[in-house]
Amino acid sequence: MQLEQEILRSDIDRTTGARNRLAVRLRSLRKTFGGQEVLKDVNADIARGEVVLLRGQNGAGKTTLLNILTGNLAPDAGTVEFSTNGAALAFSFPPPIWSRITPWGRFSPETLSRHGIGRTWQDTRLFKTQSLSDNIAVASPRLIGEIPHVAVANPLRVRREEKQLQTVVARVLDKLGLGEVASSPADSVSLAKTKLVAIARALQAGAEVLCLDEPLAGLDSTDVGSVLGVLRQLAETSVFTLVIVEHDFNIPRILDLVTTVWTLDKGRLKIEKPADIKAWFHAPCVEELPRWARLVIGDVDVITVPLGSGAVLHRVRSKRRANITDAPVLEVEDLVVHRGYRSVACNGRDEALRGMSFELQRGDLGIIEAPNGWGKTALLETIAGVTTAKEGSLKLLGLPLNGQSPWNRRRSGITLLQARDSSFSSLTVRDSLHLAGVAYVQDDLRALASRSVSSLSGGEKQRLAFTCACDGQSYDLALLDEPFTGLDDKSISGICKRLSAHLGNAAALVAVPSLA
Amino acid sequence: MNYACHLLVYLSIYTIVAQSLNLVVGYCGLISLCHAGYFAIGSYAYAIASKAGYGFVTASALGVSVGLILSLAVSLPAWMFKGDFFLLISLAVQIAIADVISNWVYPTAEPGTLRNLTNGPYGIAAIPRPHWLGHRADTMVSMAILALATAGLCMLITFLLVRSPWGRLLKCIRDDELASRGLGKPVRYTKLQAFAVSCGMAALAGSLYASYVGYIDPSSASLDNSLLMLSMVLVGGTGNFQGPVVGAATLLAFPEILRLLHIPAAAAANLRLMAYGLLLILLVHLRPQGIAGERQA
Repeated sequence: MQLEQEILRSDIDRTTGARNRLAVRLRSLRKTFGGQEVLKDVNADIARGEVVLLRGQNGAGKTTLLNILTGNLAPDAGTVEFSTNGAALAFSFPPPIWSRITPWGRFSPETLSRHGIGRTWQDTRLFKTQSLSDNIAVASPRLIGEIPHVAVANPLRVRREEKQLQTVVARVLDKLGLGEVASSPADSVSLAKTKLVAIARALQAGAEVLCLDEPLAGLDSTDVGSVLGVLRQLAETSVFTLVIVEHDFNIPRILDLVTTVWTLDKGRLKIEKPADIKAWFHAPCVEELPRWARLVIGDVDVITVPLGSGAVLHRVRSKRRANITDAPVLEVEDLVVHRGYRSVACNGRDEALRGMSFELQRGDLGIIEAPNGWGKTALLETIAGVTTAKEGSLKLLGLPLNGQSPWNRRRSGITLLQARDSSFSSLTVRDSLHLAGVAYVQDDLRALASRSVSSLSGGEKQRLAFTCACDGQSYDLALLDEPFTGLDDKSISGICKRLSAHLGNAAALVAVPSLA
Repeated sequence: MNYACHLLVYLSIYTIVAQSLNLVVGYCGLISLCHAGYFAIGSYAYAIASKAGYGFVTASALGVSVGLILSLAVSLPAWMFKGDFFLLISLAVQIAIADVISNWVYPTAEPGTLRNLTNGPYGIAAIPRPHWLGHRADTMVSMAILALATAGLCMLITFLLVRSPWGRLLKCIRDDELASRGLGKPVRYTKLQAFAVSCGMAALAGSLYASYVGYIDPSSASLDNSLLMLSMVLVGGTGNFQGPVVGAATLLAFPEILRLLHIPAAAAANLRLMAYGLLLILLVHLRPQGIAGERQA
């Protein structure tokens, strides 16, 4: 393995100009999961300072390729070469058996990170019990305080080093506008702030090539602006090489930063220019109503109700049903939603207007559009009974829901699709569908029936979660928390079609981040 | 006075044990059930060395060294296993240590020799009191001072470690191992260090125990003892400095309270176990972070 690395290293060194500017070179990469070939003969180069957009349908292998680029997953065959931090490093696959049992020079996240390859995760993966400043400080390489005998024998030196480090970190956090929350634990700040800290943390670890997994996912328009601002600064320096995985919905927002587009289709990588794909994308959705809502209902009447603190409820109804007055499916009166001890999802400034009231009839699609941290998830979970409502009343088809357990509410006709991954990872797809009582399975999921849920891609898991929540037992009210997260356009259309069919006899309440 | 000194010695020994176990349970996030095994390894190493004529410092250093080296038995599996699997491995290590101690016996050989290293179920008796530089800890007061000084040293080392970037790194590994690896941190090596420090300190506590009690047998390596040590950490509160001290003091206070109530010894042993169980159940419901643990958000 080492010999092969040396040969590949000298190969890179011998090459001229353009090659020397290469940061990453991938050759003939192949990866198979359970007989399914996810990557087929992938070849690509990334030059220093390049901004690569990695896109593809759900299950196309985007995360797999990103995991290979960052050492989290070894390919079955091919070579991966890096020329970062002033040195070259190369790996060929499959590696010889002896190299797998020695701890040196292995293809691993730590080896690649020390060589200047960093990454951020879709769910940020900050150290939740640590403050934001410690999350960045811990990423610093070669800290003497991390050597236990030095920490014991020379505490003053360690303290001096730590003081200097905290000054640097405080400056970084100030630049990101996070100076005031520097000492807050990572699990108590908003998603956007954690995404910014995740980027800063990877850079603090010495990343020259930074792989970002859906950096804009789940952010509202204000937060998207702040994360994009940081990415733009990194791109403009030409020092950093960025590989960004993003879903179709957010691609128009970052397209002007991108210099190269990698499109994964059925395991093959196609390299394009940003201009080639521009026409495929609409401008970001800034109209009052999300685009998918029209796919669900068609020609609509919309009543928009402000809910306070920047949130609105769009009550969307088909024009054909506009004059039909039906008994309400869901009645919410003066409801105050709590997250822990704090009341959320309300206009906190005005005590008199704290509780929210609204109702939904059959065929209604309620869309709660609110900034992150407003309490959308808490509201849906309160209606579903996962969280207890301390004030206000809830009625389903005229019957009170207060005090009922979540399972009784499910039996009464409420179904909940949670935003976070709440699938049973140890079950197969078939077992999950069986457990949810799904009688008819769509073709796309039928093909995955024997696969374990843990082996599915993010989009496939989301499709399964939607099917389990909405295609199993019948319901009168569907509560859908960010149902389109991680889905491509085709999957979104499919889900909208199915939701549209269900809305004949039911109502749906969908929570999405603010888009305008 | 002697009674107070006796309590101080026991509190010092179990404070070292709980502090060291907290490094693994609280800072690495790995529940370990083999700590009594390392405690016994330190006891036996000390007993054999001190009977061979070595002083407290040398004999304890031997105990700590053996504990450090044998910590690999549990720290190497910790590279790959977490949660329930690691718990089972630590249980296997505990049983292996207890079995080796119980069975390394040969009737005609002297205890402490290679053929009869531990003297099996008969244990090793007449372990000399600690002596160093011409001093001998013959009185209860001198023994209490030695125990307090040793515990103070261990607490200082633990304090410096957990407040250093090394302690921060341990907590980060506990929170998210993959993210730590993605930052280039030597996760496996750091776990190895944590186990070495933890097992070494447990062995030191074992040395202190053997030197104080003067007799050591396989019961010190029992699973019950490991569970008691783990309970001390959980009751006091994991992942902080003061928790293990509070946990050790709380669980050591129980048998003493029963003694003061003049409950017969046979009944007191059962009552003590019931009280421990009740305390753990109450804590899980009322204060899951432990008595001195930090409040959860």
